[in-house]
Amino acid sequence: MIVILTTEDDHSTCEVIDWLIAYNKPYVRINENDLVDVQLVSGNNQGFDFALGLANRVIRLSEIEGFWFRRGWLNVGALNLSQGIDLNPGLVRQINRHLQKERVELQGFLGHLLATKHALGHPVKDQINKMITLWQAQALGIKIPAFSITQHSSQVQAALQVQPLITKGIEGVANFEANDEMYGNYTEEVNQNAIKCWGSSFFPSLFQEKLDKMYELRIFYLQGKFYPMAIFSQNDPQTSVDFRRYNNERPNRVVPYVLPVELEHRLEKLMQAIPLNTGSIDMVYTQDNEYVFLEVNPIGQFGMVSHPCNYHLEQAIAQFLTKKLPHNENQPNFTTN
Amino acid sequence: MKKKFFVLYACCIPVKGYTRSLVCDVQRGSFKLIPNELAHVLTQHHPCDVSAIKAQHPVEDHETLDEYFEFLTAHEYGFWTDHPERFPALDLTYQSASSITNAILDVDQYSNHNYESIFDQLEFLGCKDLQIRCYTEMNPEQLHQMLGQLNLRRIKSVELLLKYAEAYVSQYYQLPQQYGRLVSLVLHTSPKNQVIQSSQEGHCQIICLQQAIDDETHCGQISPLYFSLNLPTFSEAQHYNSCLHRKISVDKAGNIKNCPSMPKSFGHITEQSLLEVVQQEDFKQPWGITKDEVEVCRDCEFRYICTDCRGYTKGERKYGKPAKCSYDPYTGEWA
Ligand code: SF4
Ligand code: SF4
Repeated sequence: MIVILTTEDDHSTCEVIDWLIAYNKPYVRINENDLVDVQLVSGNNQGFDFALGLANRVIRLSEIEGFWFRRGWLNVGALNLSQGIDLNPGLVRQINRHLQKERVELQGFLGHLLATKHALGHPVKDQINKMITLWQAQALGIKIPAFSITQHSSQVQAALQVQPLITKGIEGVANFEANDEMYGNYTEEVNQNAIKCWGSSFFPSLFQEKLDKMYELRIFYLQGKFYPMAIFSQNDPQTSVDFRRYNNERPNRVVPYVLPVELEHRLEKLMQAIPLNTGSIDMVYTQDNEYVFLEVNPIGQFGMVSHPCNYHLEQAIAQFLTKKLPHNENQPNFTTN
Repeated sequence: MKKKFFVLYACCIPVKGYTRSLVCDVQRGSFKLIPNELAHVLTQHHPCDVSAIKAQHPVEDHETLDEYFEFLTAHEYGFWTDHPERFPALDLTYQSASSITNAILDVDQYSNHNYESIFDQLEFLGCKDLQIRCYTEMNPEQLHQMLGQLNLRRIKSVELLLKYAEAYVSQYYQLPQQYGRLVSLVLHTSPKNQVIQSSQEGHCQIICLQQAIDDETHCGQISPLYFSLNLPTFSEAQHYNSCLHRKISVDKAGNIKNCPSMPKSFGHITEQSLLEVVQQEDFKQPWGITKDEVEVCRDCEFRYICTDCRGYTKGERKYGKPAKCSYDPYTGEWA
């Protein structure tokens, strides 16, 4: 049996499941909002085991052959201290904070047990530190963009004298919601007017050399194999700073790409160093003909690479999970040609 | 400095026809007509080393060549690079996890379909897109009974054809709100032609047609309106039949067929399961008829985006051109 941990609305999960069905492989899909009942988690000198209740079935660790961590978390211990209880509200808050830590620890442990199986992705390692990844990439001889993190506008001024800058989150993307409006942080170019608005000091922020892009690369990685896609975001001013600002009328050109072998080797070492057996790598190819590494996203939107490049990644993932050979060599036993 | 090679974006694919050619943009879903000489350059000399190409052409053609490449660059069909080896062509293999991807179910006043059982079987086969064509009036209760069976299934899109009925029409318009799987609702035999809701305005288009579509013989029209321009259909058309590949149909009388318009029945739905039919080699035979094999179409620049039809063909020949196509690729004109 294959266990998939994901979210309810994830369409890529459905496409992978279609292939598991075609391969006649039993699977359980656990969405992060499905309540998971901790029937028993046990360990002794013979080994570890668990039995988790999900709706009306029981998932035993021993029955799991493969595990795909797509995204989300195991929804265990979804209980807080009862509202009605007559305790000091400050105390209730502290106790709930403690329960939350207990929950996270248990989730981490169960995630670890799942990842000991034939696994793609890792629920505990999904939060990687982007700055550390940059450090690892640089150490492996992969070019990175120059950056500074500072809380002083004087430093930003000085850096801006040298080269144009952009600013983005140290950790990554944020989405906020208030009064039914969505707010997010996009990558922004830094200019004098903006610096004036910030005052002389502010929250420590990341400033990065603005790369002169020829095109961007989004590279999906699946256990030793790279699936690169080039994104021509430069043709369109609306998306040239941040590719996530899609232009729906004339979407950016996206095409399959071939990486230089030398770069592939270094990226392979990087993935092993992190370590990740799947993820999406973002890079830029500059006007100066250099490959510059930006980040690795452990939970990649691989559908946006798979479909336009016809890489059949959904099938490749299903084959990985069922330990089948790469596609084309192994036709599903269920389909009929 | 100008880069040396002109390269088409992999999603912009030239298709040569007898008198003219196309560049099919399978990403943005559009195409441009181009002269055959240009298609020749783009297929035979791709990636295009423009100075080398010019060297092979007389000087008076150079301006035309420059114009071609400017046109393609301006329309974002291609770009200039010094590294054409980094930009491979699209892999046009077709893969599907479903043994049946699409189905037609016909209904008239004598039909006695067990919808639940049919949908169960289609679901098992992995069917994603379903067309239900009702030739006679259906009351809302019948429709709810039918459509209610579709929620929570892997079938992801349903196109519904209904006969206009004055008494029910307002209830018909409500159907897309109740059944999220509906992507198209067409009412035939309507008082007038009218778009009630376009596909931009909601997840489901609603259209009224004056024409009476009272049986399956109305199917099989070939028109640029129905051309399908996306990577899955384009790659499918390279290897399989654009209409019948992985299609199964149940006609109004309950016969299981490739398509309701074809005479051959593979058994009755009450006696045979859809799976049994799909497993017969005979049934899958028309799936492999590509446009490259069909008379006339094989010379047509639209062959990979055209919907095809095997139900109605010239001279009722297996490889005959679709009978309801008025295009002549040898003159480049629609009759
Ligand atoms: S083969 Fe022709 S008649 Fe049959 S479903 Fe296709 S288009 Fe319609
Ligand atoms: S000639 Fe054939 S391919 Fe061309 S439009 Fe007509 S039916 Fe389609």
